[in-house]
Amino acid sequence: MHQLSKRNIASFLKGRIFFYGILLIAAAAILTYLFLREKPVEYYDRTGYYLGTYVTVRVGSKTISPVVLADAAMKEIARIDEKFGSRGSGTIARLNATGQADDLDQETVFLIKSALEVAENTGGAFDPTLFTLTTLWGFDDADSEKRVPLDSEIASALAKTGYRRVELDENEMAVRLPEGLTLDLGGIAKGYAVDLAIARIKSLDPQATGFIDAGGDIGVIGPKYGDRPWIVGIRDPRGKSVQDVIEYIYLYDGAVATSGDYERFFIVDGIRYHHILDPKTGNPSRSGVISATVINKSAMLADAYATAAFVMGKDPGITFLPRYGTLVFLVMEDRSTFKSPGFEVYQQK
Amino acid sequence: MRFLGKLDWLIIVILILTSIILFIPRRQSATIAEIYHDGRLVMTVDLRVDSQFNLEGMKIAVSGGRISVVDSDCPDRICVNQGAIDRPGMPIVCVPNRILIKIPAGYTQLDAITQ
Repeated sequence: MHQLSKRNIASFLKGRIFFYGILLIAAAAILTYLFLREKPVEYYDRTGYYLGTYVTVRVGSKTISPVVLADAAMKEIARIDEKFGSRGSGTIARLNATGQADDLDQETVFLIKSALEVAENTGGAFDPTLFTLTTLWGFDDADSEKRVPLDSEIASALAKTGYRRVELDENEMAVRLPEGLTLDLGGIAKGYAVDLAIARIKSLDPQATGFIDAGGDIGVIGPKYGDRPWIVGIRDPRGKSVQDVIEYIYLYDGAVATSGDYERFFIVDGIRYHHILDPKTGNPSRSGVISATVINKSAMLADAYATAAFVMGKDPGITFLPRYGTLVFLVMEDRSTFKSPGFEVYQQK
Repeated sequence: MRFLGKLDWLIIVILILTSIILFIPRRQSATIAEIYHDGRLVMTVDLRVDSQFNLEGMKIAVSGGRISVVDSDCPDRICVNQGAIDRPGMPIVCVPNRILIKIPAGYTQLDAITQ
């Protein structure tokens, strides 16, 4: 048997202490690194009921509490709801009651101007003056009686529409409506609220990331964890569940909105009457489209152009929309799909 | 007497194993597959729902979270022989039909739905 000398034991212990010492230091170094390195942002969700739908804000920040950011965003959305929402007693309600207003603020002028611009760009396929028609069909409120109006009723309601007849004077901050015409900014207020809430968050932290989802109008604050896209599903218009998705898009920035005939509709004698009315006929739009999804820089414009794309249809309808920074994805009645050239860019990561 | 005894080796092996386990990336289960025709994305398929459909002379099936080509009119039928895939990395390719089926890498979780 090998005899241990004192010298051997000493060097043996020394070696071990040295070995485990290094191990300990390495472990401490790794733990310190893990603790100090930049942690991925944690996302905070806040949901509220505004503008007739559920609004979800998902936000993360490296410098500011996401709770503060979500608060600020929700306040902004609540303000727009108060001012332009259908329940509101704000400027628009007064304008519709009296037919004129000359004390508009910049925000209202901007909204009216934007609505009229989209109407102009789409040849009236989007029209912010259809409220009389909407009410006639009963699509103004979930509780309203829904029925197919008589042709004569539709004709007389159509006479009270037409975006071209809205007189907006930007310099005087004034607007005049001819007798009977009503202005309805509901079609763009939701998207505008999303845009504004994003701007509010960005003003507090330009590096903040996340997205805002207002009943399917989705605006991106910033990419997921700063470098990944948000994955957005496009609802299958004839899916059994709301979670059924027909396509996926990847959004790093910008916004997406969808108009579908499944949102508000009623069926009489096997015919589906939905809420997206054709400003030319006064009837639910029959362009062969059952769902139109639009990608745009602004959620407000995405919202308005989605409605327009639904009404305009595939050909030649939406072919010129890319000119206005708008990419379209359509689902047709036979469930075939159509994409604007360039839409597939948003389907790659 | 050696520098390290049996106990030391045991400790070293345990340490190495623990660190390997800690650093293995948690595998996400894929939920979608993408189908390209001529390099253009033509279809996105939900892998959570079993389905079967025809595309460019090919019969494609999703079953149990895996996607496969079950029949094809191409001469060599390499795509059929590739079997079912359920994770990124190995796409199913059919050169004669110019079809590529792949599961996108990484983040496949849905964040929101536009409606």
